[in-house]
This record gives sequence, structure tokens and C-alpha cells, in this order.
Amino acid sequence: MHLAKLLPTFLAEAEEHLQILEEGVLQLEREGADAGLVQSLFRSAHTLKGSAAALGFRRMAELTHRMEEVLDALRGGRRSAEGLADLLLACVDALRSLRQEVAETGEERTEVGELVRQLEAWQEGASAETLHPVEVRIRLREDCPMRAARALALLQILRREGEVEQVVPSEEEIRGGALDLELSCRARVREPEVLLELLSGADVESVRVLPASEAPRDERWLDLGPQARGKLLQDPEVSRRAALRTVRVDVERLDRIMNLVGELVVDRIRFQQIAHRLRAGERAHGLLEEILDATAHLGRVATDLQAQVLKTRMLPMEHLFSRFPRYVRDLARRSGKEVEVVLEGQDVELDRSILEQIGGPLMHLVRNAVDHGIESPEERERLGKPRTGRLRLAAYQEDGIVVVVEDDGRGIDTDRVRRRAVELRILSPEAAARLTEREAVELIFHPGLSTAAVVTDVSGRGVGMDAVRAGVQAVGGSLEVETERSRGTRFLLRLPLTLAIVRAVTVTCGGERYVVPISSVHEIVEIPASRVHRVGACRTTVLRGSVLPLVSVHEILDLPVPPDPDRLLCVVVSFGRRRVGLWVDGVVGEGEVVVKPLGNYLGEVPGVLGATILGDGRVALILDPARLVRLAVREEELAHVG
Amino acid sequence: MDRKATGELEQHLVVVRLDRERYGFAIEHVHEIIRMQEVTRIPRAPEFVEGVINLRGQVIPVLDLRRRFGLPAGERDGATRIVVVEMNGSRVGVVVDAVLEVLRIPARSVVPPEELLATGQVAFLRGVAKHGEGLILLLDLHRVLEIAEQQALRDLEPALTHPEGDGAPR
Repeated sequence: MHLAKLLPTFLAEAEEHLQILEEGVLQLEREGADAGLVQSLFRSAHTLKGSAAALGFRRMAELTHRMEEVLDALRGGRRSAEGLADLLLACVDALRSLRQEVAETGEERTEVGELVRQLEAWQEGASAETLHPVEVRIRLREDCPMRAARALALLQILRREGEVEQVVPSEEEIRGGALDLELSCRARVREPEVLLELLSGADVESVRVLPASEAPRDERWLDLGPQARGKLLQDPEVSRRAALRTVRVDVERLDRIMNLVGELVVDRIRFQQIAHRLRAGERAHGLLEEILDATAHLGRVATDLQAQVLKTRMLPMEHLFSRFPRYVRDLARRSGKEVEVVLEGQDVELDRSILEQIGGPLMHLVRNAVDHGIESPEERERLGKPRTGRLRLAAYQEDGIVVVVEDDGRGIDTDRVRRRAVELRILSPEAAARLTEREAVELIFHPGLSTAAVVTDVSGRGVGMDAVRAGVQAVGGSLEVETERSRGTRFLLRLPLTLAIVRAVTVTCGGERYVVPISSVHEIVEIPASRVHRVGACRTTVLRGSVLPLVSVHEILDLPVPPDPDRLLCVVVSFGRRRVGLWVDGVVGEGEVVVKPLGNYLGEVPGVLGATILGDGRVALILDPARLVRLAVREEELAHVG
Repeated sequence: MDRKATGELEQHLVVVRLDRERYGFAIEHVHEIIRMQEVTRIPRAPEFVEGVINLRGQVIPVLDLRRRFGLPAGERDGATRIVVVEMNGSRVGVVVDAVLEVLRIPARSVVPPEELLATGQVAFLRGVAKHGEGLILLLDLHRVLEIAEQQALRDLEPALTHPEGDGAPR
């Protein structure tokens, strides 16, 4: 009965303790078991155990109970912390999934038995069973009957030997008949040596078992699949934070908001009184001063209220940054690198909606920096650099907020980027040679290149840099890159302070009004019809010496196209280095608009960022120019004319 | 199908008119009823999505129930209303020809959908209630709001944007 009331508090509290535990364990791993540190870990586990037990979450309670005992043993100096960090981090991960499940469904699903056993084993001094991460590749014989059943049976065997973390194709896909002949698994097993024997059989052509770190990357794992394009922002790591939808607001702030709301009520009464006096026959112009006065007051209150509410939406960068030490640790471990993370500007505040949305892009940049930027310790030594690479994440306030992701690795090899662009026929060899260094660096944001480069090493994981840039632009920001060969790469994300209000141009098109965020508007021009040319399906013109593709908003949005106007009114938008003119019917004006979501019923509407309410109470859609242009023209065609 | 609802003694309905039929919304899903207003259309949305409106600062989608059911388009007049329903935390407006009454009907007068003849709308119904001389078609709001068609539409989108498929930025 009380559960529904207590749950939000519990979830928020759990998140905090999980954060403390995670940071603490990382510190434990780096610096060893300091008494104060172990004490604070113990306290968090203990508190979490208490509240989980009180709410009847048995698995969380059991796991934290075991963690508590292990930490107690550590505190008493009975055991050293050697090898414990991995186990404790696995526990933190399990607790996190449990927390998520409880938040979403009210039930605990994640199994904790294995972890509890390992914690017990560690505590008993018997070294916890070590599991070796391996990759297993199985190829079935062509004449193998019932391949799917065979593959599932093999998986069963593997499961008995340890934990299977990932299977390609997935079990559902296998059941659905997706299995060709090859099955790849990532697993952690007790004895890799026995696998060969266990897994081979009459129907199996070959079995390869590789230590996970040595296995060549399999691009199928890197590819996030067809839905990945829009999903970059929904990295599981990110959503775990995004799921925390509650805010803690300073009481003082709330009081100020309440006061302002009180003022609004007063204003309403004033307007009512004016209306009564008008109705009673009082002369209107005598009341004019009062109406103006009340309106001015209302305006001030609205502005203040807006500012106060905006402040309640702000969160410190810490919310985002704090997950990176752990993330980088795991990445570095996997790729055999040594990376130190430096965090700066943790208290810089950013609108929570932006914070949530840049998590994905930021993560991608960090992953790139560790995977491709920072060299292996040996290579760094050879180059006379310190063995440990440095990854700096910083935030500071300028015009808006600037977030920096900087590594001291090898930098972007522009020669390679040029070569790649030529290979992929994005550029002719001559054009590639003509590019300045800066322009060559910018090529990494070209969609064709960043996709195709996935399996080489410019990008990281099947998500192109163009998607990262698009993600940043979706929140009205921009992404720049600075790089120096063998010195490192720095990405700068320039972000607006808030997403809730944007400056925008209102345009009319086909009888509707639309809003275009000013961050992407370059200029507004009128082009005489005589200077508009058709190249294939695309209209173009020449503006100050360079070719400008024109896109008809009418056509993309299925609105009636006006019959041959003599001038085309175009909003020139830019994204990346590309400029495109959006042909509209008219421009109404420029101003601030409050961004509203379209709601989850409609989901994501292509080409539309959200909606806003205009002065007359009607809704206008906020257009996403970059997406709109993609809807209109195939990338290739743009590449030809642009 | 909602067994529990039909097992109860009474059902509380908002009854609306659409074409020549009377339909009933379970009252617990009805948030409010507002007059028809100007709707902002959504590009590339399914045909039955009329657009979005401003409901006191919240932007909500509006469906045309006639188009949803494949009925002929009707005249919009002074009686046209938007029934704002709330389900799974989303608010959605549904355009109907008129709102007739709010009424309670005994559960035993409800005929479950298995016994109904298959017609175009039957998929959207959770039963039919006998009331007075006529019948009230009870809406299965989950089905009405289901946007499977739109999902299919959205899945098509990458293909539309990048006809080659593999050229899509991932």
C-alpha cells in the first residue's frame, strides 16, 4: 500500500548509493583499501540493504547483504582487496538492473544467485571462481540437419560452462531461422580449454575459442542494426539515467515560484475587475491605462516565472560526467590501454533535457577517444609519451555551455581520411588533394565516410560521427573538432543553456505556420525564379558564387505547391559544412518560442523536432532542417550538387 | 478483452454519435470533452491522425474517428466535439459528431464481441450494449488508439530516405 508512495524516494536514494558504490569501487581499485573509503562503501551497501528489505525487494536485499559482509571482512583487514573490484562492479551493475526493473515493472528479474555465490566464495577465502572472457565461433557443417536446434543445444552446453553474454545471431533470431552456419558467442567460462572438446561434434565443422581481448573485432557486434541511426541517443547506459524522472528542488526556489503564481492570481482578479467595470458601462478609454498596467505586470511575472522554472530544470554536469570513470575503465581494460580520466566543471549546470540527450553523443566521443585516439601503453612509450593516456572531460559556461572531450592520443590521420573518402568515391582524388587540413578533418562527419569507416578505425561502433553531430544539433548545439597529429584530438560541443526555449524564425508554408530554430538558420534570401535551375529532381541556384541546393518544404510536407512564383523565398539553413535553401511561402518573424514535445503517442515525427504554441493559441510544428533535407533529397544527389 | 469490466454490475459510459451509430467510451478513460478547434496537421502521419491541438499548454494529437473506422467524412458543425481520452499516460483527442449523454448500463446487457457479426469496426469494439430501443457500440480504446499502422509507416522511413538502404548513416 505504502509502496507506491515510497518507491520514488527509494529509487532516487538507490541511484545515489549506486553512484557512491561505483565511484568508491573504482577508487578502491586505483588506490587500495583505505579505511575511510571502505567504511563509506559499507555504509551505502548497508543503507541500500535496509530500504530494499523494508520494501520487500529480496534480491537487492540479499545482494547488498553479501556485499556488506565482504566489505566488513575487508574493513577488518581480514582480506585484501585484490581482484574484488570486478566482482563488486558486477554487483553494482546487477543492482542497477534490479533498480530499473523495479522502477518499470515493480518486480525483480535479474538473477543474483551467481554473484551471491561468488561473494560468499570470496569471503570464505576460497578464491572466487575466475571466469575467463572468451569469444567462441562455431561453424556448423553444411549438411547439419536442424541447425537451429543444434545451435541452441550448443548454447546450452556453453551455459553450463559459464555465462554467455552475447550471441550472434541472437536466440530469437536463431529460432526465427536466421542462423546460417556460423554462431558467435561472447562468454565467460571456467575452463576455456575444455570448450573445444565439448562443443565439437559430428555436425560441427569448426570451433574456435579465443581469449576475448585477442579476438579480431567482429563488425556484426559493432553494428547496432538498422534502428541504430535514431537510437544513438538511447544508449542503455544513458537510458538508465534518463529513467530517473524525478527532480529534487530547493525549497527556496519552490517558494519563489509559488509567490509568482500568487501574482498571477492577482493579475487575473485585476483583469476580471476591469471586465466588470467595462460591462457596467464605464468608458473604455478610461480603463486603458489600467489594462496596459496589468498587462505589463503580467508580462514581468511570466518572465520571472519562466526563469525560475527553468532553474528547476537545471542539473549539474556531474550527473553526466560521473559515469565516465567507470565507462572508460571498462573500455580501457577491454582494449588493453591505460587511461586516466580528468573531469572538470562538474558543477556547471545544464538543462536536464539537454543533459539527457547529449549523453549518447558524448559517450560515443569518449569511446572513440579510447578506442582510436589513445595509443597502447607500449606505443606511447615508444613515442616518448607517458604510458597512461589522458582523457579530459570538461564543461564551462561561455555564451551557452561548452563541453570538451579531449585526448592526448595520436590525432586524426587526415591522409587516411582523404584516402578513405577517395576509395568510397565521396571525393575525386583531385578534390581530396585540394582540401585544406581543416576540411579534411571535417570529412569524418560525412555520412558516407563515417558509416563505411566503421570497420576500419576512424569511427567506433557502427554509429557514424555524422549521427553524433546530428545528435548534438538536435538539441540546438554544434560540434567542432580540433586535432593535431600525434598530440591528440579535442571535440567541442557548444550547447544552448536550455532546450525549453529557443530563438526561432516563424515561416508560413501551404497555409500552415512552421518554426525553424535560429541555430540552423544562416540567412533568408529571395531568389528570382529565373535564377533557379533544375538538376535532376533537385532545384538549385547560385548564391554569391556557390551552388545552393533548394528544397521545397511544400513537397516534403505534402502541402500544395504554389503555382510558379516569380520569386522563391528561401530560408538558408546550414548543417555541418552544407548549406541548403528551404523554399517557403513567407516569413512571419523571429522570436523566442517554448518547445513542447509532441507526446509519446505520435512518437518521433520525421523532420519535426517538436511543437510550440503561437500567440493565438494554435500549435506550430518546429522543423528539423537537417532531417527535412534528408527526407527530401538523397545524400548522394546532395553530394553531387553541394 | 477486459473481462473485469464486463463482470461488473454497471458500466459508466460517455455516449457519442458517429455517423448513424452510438458509441460508448468507458468514462474512466475520458479526461474531458472540448469543442472542435483548429488543428495543426502533422506531415507524414497516418491518415486518421488529424493533427495536434493545444490543450492548455500541452500539445496533444487528435484522431478522426470516422477516418479511423473507414466511415465517410462527415460535416463538422456546432455539435462536433473532441473527446480527450487518457490511456497509458498519453492524452489523445478523438473527434466525434456529437456527445449525446453520460449513462450507466447494467453489465448483463452487454453482448461480447465474439457474438457480433464481423463488420469494419468490429475490431475496435469490446462489445455491444442494448439500451432502450437501440444499441450502443462499446469502444475498445486500446485498439482505437493503437498506432500499429504508423509504426509500419515509420519503419518504411529509412528506406524512403535512403533507397539504397546501405547508404544510411548508422
